[in-house]
Amino acid sequence: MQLLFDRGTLLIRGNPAEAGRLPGVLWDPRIGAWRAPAYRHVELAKELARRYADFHDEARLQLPAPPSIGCPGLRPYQAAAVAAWELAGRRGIIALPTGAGKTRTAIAAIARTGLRALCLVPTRVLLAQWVKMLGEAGLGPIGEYGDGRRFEHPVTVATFASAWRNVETLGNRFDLLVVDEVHHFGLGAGDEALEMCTAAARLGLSATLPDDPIRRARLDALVGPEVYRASVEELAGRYLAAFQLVTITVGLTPEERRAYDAEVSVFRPLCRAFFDSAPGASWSDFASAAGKSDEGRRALAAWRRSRSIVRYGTAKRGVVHDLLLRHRTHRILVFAADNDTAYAVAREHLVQPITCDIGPKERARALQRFFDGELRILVSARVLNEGIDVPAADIAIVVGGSQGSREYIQRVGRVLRPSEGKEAVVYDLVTRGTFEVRLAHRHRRALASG
Amino acid sequence: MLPADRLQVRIAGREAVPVWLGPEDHAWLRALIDDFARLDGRPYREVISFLQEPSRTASPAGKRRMAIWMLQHLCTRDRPPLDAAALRDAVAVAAQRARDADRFDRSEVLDAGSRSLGLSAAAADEHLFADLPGERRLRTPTPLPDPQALATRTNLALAQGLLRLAFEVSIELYGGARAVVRQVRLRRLVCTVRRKMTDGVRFEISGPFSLFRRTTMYGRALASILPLLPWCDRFELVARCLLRGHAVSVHLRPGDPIAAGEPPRPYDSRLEERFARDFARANLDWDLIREPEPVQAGEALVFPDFAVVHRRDPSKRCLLEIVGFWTPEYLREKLDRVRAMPREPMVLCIDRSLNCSAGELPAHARIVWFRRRIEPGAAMAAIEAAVKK
Repeated sequence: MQLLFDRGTLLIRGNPAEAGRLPGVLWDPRIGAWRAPAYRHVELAKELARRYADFHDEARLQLPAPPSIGCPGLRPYQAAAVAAWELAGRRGIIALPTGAGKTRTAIAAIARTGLRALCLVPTRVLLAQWVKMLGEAGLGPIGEYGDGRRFEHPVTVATFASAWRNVETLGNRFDLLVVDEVHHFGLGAGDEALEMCTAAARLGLSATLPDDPIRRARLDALVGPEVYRASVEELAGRYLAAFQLVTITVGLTPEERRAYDAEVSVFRPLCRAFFDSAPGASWSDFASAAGKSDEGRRALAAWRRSRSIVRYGTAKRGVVHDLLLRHRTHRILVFAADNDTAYAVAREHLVQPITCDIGPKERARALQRFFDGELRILVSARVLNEGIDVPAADIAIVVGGSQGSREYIQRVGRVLRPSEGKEAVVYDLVTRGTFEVRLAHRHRRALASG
Repeated sequence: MLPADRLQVRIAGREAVPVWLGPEDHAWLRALIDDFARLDGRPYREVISFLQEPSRTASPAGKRRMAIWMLQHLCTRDRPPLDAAALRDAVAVAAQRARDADRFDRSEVLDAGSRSLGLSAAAADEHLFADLPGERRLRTPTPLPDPQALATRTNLALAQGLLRLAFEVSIELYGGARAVVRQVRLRRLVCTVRRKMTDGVRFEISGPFSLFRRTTMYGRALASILPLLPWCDRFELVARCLLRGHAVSVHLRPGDPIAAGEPPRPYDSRLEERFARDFARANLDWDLIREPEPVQAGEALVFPDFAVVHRRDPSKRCLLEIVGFWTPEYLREKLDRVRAMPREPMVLCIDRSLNCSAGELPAHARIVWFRRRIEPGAAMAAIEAAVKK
């Protein structure tokens, strides 16, 4: 009786009796064999070993382990998180706020287990950051999958997209799966990167786990339950920087207001009529329906123009100018609604933008200059929202456009990395009499409850 | 292939019918192509903004979005005239220094930042973001496609975009099956092949993990089969796709107005191609047939590499398989397939470096060992011995 790894699945050779009752096993009529998804490996191998004396597990490969390193020094809550994960059988999710040291917690888990580890991260920027941190911890050389690179080492980092594309070959080569920003999973699409791995030990990391019970159940099955959680409130002041949230309400100039109202008057009646006739419909339902008629397309174009008036109006420009002047000795992150606004801020104030269009070399150089103090202002749209370790920033200026509350919380988290005597300030710029007021209330509520 | 949000289909029950571009669309396609000719050399953000406005020629919105995507896909963007990243870095550092000294003046900073790169402040201001996607200038292809070519290429992208969302595909195929089999093996898909009552074959294609749930992770591999189909004599394809959260069927048939891809390669490898050429030159008595009839192996059909038939006596016939590729999975799969073939005369040409043991080899086959190149003389001798046996 043999268990083989076949492109993200397990094949049972030897046609065991009652194989259909084994965990996760289905008959595959296409090849005439019993097959199971790779993530059921541990329970399946255990059951086969119990039933059959001649069982050989050939699904997992015997490959070199990572270099042995001592567990890095941890703060008490990080140590508690790792202990909780180990007690849960090395499966589970640790939920810590941004800036609380999730990567360090993962390094501790890798060091303590000594297992070959595949770390999954959402973006190429985070790939570079994880490779650097794992290498500095002594776990190098570090393998990389993503951003044009494809090589493996006992500790390897892969972007979600690259892991998804290569999981058929990588799936049985690691024993520990570390999933950064694990809240991206549990939707079905993309989950194959977790389902097609044999790794028994799994560690998920997130600042903002989803509330949806179906997604949580999926994450439970694929990574494990939430084993440890600490909130911003618990850590702020001691392990995270204390912070103030300052909302600055600005107006539109009379011309901007006229233009804004004119665009809204084109867009709003159609929008209202749609949602009145289709209660419960989503924005994308509306956009899809509007795209089918000239009137709808005109309304969408008006909606886009109204947003661009508010995104970086005259008053916001003035406030950004004043804040950059007032805080010129601090390290400042400016968050814009979109890339165009980020470039407008960058062009006006001659500051370095960090967006998805900026290449990895330029980004790394800019972050290094920010770390060294040669640059003390960065402007970004989305790239700095999630996970990137921005050293020592203490002022955030949210010029506009957090897509959702999770994004807003993550933006705030960017300035919470602690340092001696630090008190961060988050400025939230809101345009009076526009959709931004409603969004600001929503984000504030989410921040208070998260 | 078109991204999911641009795909235009009409839903009829559980079927998604692709909305093809046809002759009735040529008038507005011509106007769109002319628009692109006007936009040549413009920064990309201007192009996007121009295309987002309602069009001057009446056109179906969804079809227009597909055609715009296709045209954008055919266009390129100019390279920036200087190293804008270095310019940004120099300017940002100069700006920080000026702030530190409490004398930030935009034009002075631009002047200071650009001096090291030999630029004027005005040129620096102009080119500060010249390398970013929105600033790079659109270059249209020469020549731009005509409406007919644009329509068929868009239709192919639409069909491939739909297959990109497929979790399983069935194809009934008449002629040219070999290229499909090769592609399926190359993309490591799972495929069962059965003979049809007529002279065609039926492929059921999916991926290993498709057994457990409807996954679109094999969609890209499944879509890669599509450009081969127009080269077959006849085909009918049914793809089961996950479209906007619903499982739907997509039917593609001969006559659908899609462009054919590159013609399929006639041989699986250079080794095969060279052997076919050497063999044809070395003798006049035997013909090497590249795509012989598939043979039944258990419940499935397999496609031999070659059949060898005597020119004057067609009853003298044998199959010839080449095992020249070396991954262990490939070798295991190939030998499994050969062992399952019927016990008719067979010659197996095996690369010596594979270190196959005698126990692994099918007992009924004549073996020709080779290194890098198959000697036609050795193959001839084995063929004659196999046929005599």
